[in-house]
This record gives sequence, C-alpha cells and structure tokens, in this order.
Amino acid sequence: MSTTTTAHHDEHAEHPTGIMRWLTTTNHKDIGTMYLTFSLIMFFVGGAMILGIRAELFKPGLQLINPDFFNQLIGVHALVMIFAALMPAATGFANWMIPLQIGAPDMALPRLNNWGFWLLPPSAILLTLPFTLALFGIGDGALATGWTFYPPLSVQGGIGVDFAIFAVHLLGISSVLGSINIIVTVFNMRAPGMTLMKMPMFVWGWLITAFLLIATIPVLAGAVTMLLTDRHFGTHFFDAAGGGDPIMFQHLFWFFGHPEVYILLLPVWGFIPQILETFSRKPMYGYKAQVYSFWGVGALSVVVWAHHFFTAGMPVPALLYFMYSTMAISLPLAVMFFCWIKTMWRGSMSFETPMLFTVGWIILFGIGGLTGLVLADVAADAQYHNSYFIVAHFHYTLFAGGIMGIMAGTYYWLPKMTGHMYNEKLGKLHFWLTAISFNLTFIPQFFLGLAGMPRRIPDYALQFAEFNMISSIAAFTLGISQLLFVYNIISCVKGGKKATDQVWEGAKGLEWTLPSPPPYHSFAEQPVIK
Amino acid sequence: MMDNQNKNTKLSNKKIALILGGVALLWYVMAMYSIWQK
Repeated sequence: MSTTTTAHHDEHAEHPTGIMRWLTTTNHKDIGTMYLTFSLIMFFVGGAMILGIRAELFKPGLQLINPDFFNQLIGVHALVMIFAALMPAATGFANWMIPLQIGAPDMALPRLNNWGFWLLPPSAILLTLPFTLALFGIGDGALATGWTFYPPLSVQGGIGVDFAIFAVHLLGISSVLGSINIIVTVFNMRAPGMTLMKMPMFVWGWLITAFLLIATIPVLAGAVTMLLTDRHFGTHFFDAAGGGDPIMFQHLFWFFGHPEVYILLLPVWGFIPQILETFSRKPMYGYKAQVYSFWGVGALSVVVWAHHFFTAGMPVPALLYFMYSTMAISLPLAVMFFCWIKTMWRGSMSFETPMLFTVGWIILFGIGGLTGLVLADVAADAQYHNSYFIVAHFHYTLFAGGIMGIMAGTYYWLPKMTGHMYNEKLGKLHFWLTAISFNLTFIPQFFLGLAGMPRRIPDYALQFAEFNMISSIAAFTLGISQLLFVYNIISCVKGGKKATDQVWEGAKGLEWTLPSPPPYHSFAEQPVIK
Repeated sequence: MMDNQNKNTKLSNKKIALILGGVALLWYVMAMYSIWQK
C-alpha cells in the first residue's frame, strides 16, 4: 500500500486552552486522550476494590470487611473494570487511531463524540457514590448483587441498585453514540482507495464491535429499565412473588453480556495482528480469513448467551443447542490463532515491549479460551458453575485477553501519540512482573474452583487457605506493578527520546506516515491509497 | 475542513447516524414490549 502523506497544517491548530480545551473539544485525538486517561484512572479505582477483596481473602475467617461490603466491592469492581476501564480504553484507541488509519481528518460526528465521552464521568460517579453516601448514613452502600443485577436480589436491594441502573443507562447511551460515530466514520470517511478489504484489522475489529453494541446495549437497557419499574412502580416482570420470571432477566442480561465479552476483545484482536506483523517484519498472514473470523465470532456471539446459566434450568434441547453453538465459537478463534502464529513464523522477530505483551497475550488468552471450552460442556459446567474456576477463566479472557492486550496497544502507539519513546527497560520489567504475578494470582484460582470453592464469598473452608494466600500476595504484586505502567506513560508524555514518524521499523499503515505526534488536525489533504 | 473529504456511501453522515440511532431506539422499545407481552 503506497500513500501520499499530509503536511503539517499549523494554521488549523488553534483551539481553546486549559480546561475549556477538554470540555469543549471535538478533536478526535483530544477525545481519545480523555477516554484513555479516564480508563487508566478507573482501572486503578477498580483495582483498589479488588485489592480490598483479596486482602479479605488472604486467610479464612472474616478479617477486614463485612460480608455486605464485600458483595458491593465484587459487583462494582466488575462494572467499573468492564464499563469504565476496558471499554473506554478501546474507545480511546478507536478515537485516536481509526481516523488516522483510514485517512480521515476526524470522526464523522465530532460533537456527538464529545457528548459520548462526557457521559462517562457522571456514570462513574453514580456507580461509586453510594459507597460515600453510606458513610454519611444515606442508603446502604453500592449494589450488592454482583455486576449481573440478578433478581430477586436486585429487586430487593437498596439504593445502590438504582444508582447502578442509572449508571448503566448513561454508559449504554455513551456506548451507542460512540458506536454510531464509528460506523459512520468507517462507512463514509475512508480515504480514496481505502476499500473495506484494505482497512486495517483494528478498524475491522471496531466496526463489528460497534454493530454488536447497537444490537445488544438496548436490550440490557430495556431489561434494567423494567427492573427499575419492578423496584419502584409496582410491576412484577422479574419478581416471582408477583408472577414474574427472574430467569427471563438472566436471558436478557446475557443476551447483552456474552457479546459484551467480544465487544471488549474484538478491538484487541484488531491491533494484535498489526503488532505481530510490525515486530515480525513480514506481512500479516490470512487478512481475509481474520476478517471473516471476526464476522463469524460476531454472529455467533449473539446466539450463545444461555451457557452462562446452564444450571438455572432449561430444556435438554436448549442445553444441547447452547453447548454446541458455544463450542462453535472456537472454530473462527482457532483460525485467528493460526493466523497470528503463522504471521510470526519465520519472521525476523524482535521483542520490544509491545511484542512481549502480544506474545504473552496469545499464550494467556489461549488459556482463557481453552478453559472456556471446558465450561461450555453442560455436564462439566454443573460442577464448575459459580466456582473460582469461572473467576480464573474470565480473568484470563478479560485481564489477559483484554487489559494486557490494551497494554500492548498502549506501548505500540504511545510513541506515535506523544512523540517520545517510552522507557524500554521499564516496559519490559512491567511485562514480566505483570505476566508472572497475573499467573500466580489466577492459576491457584483454577485449582480452588476445581476443589469446590464458590465465588463471591468473603470466608472459606480451611483447605483453601494456601492457594488463597498465594493468590492474594500475587494480586498485590500485580496491582503494584501497574504503577510502573503509569510512571512510564507519564514520563513518555513529559519527554524522552524523540520518536521518528514511523517509530517501528516494520510498522505499516497510514498512521505511521504522519509526524510523531500527529498534528492537531491531520489529513487536511486526503491521502490516496493505491 | 471535512467537507473536502470522501463520502464512501450515497448517504450523508447524519442520515446513517439517524438510521442507526433509530434502530437502537426501536430495539430498546421492542425488547421491553416483548417482555411486557410475556
């Protein structure tokens, strides 16, 4: 792919300064930066919550936290990490990189973009405010239902549930607005010659993510709206005492909840092959196969939801259908894994921090995927359901598959975004500490689950003590290691060795043709893809 | 500045956005309506 590049148009660079720049900005790079900063802050908020949980679980018995507060931490940790850390991180990269990768000057709907971001801070406040209100004797804390809002607990819960319901509405509106913007940008703003099948994989990943969000968020919003009416307006949609159906809520929640997993992962699957081809110094293997696999996973993701509650009870044909359809997801994923490995095969590989994170990511996300196959088996799931095996499994998919992927992307694009190289030694140290402490945190949890330890409990039987102790020590190491990440990012933003335009020797794509950092308004003249 | 940019479909940005937003809104109402009917 050859291109013509743009000049630096300083005459377009005027913008408000100070706080007004960030409040009123419609620039995709500013909004992307705000998303990424917000995500990093919330990553630490959610991380602090889980360290409270792991401190309590350090040894058997109740030590630090009362059981109700423990339940609140569990639910809000998940909501914060999923909605306020992972999703905004992916959206931040989408804002930064999609226009640069397709040769557009900005997102298609810049004002909508600003609105989409500024809905996030109020929703984060709504999620966490009940903790503070409880300190002043108002309400009984945040929602204690887990992130899934299952009735009847959520119908009976305190004001924390209402706060969370409103937060989910705002987060949902923000996600739908962001998705609309991304679809319009990809459909209408590509540079001449950038056909759909020439788009970078990251753009493909986000395009399918955006469609999934529009297909599933309204269903979640509908379900929690009706939960709200059950709580306050005398309806009984999900309240069995009034003739409602609590299992119906589980169906609706997971119709959103399962695609949500791929909503978190598809953007990462997008830039992983780009990082692999850069640091393997050879063309990506199987571009078309990966694009079709994205579509395959996207389509299958909306028809497998009931595997999250096999044990709630459903007819045998339904169990079989959901088991086999879930297992079918492994087929497109296997194609992707093959393409990723084949991209590296006989490449001239080097292991800078983004590549280290990516290779580590492939192994760890592979473990997450394979343990998911075990859980898809109805008979096996009867034993593993609601055990620590599940907790370990979804952290391999969401922390390793999601957050470590985001870290790979951060190190990959940070020099382009800031114009400075990060500290490579510190980046590598961050990777090894993260990978080792992550495994030491969650491998013991697989064994705890297999041995029968249930999830979401503040106390446990004595035989689980050793593995819990190892897991807690490793979790604190994992948490503290992330300070290196923040330090490295801040140092890189402030200064450091100047990054070249291409940054990485093997990097391909339009974003690398721009200066590092790119001008405030990029592609004032259209690039042409030949 | 963006006026000089490419338009890859026959629809304007606003039209595509309105269609997608409409689908999302309709889907939200339909989800609740189907539970109501149950």
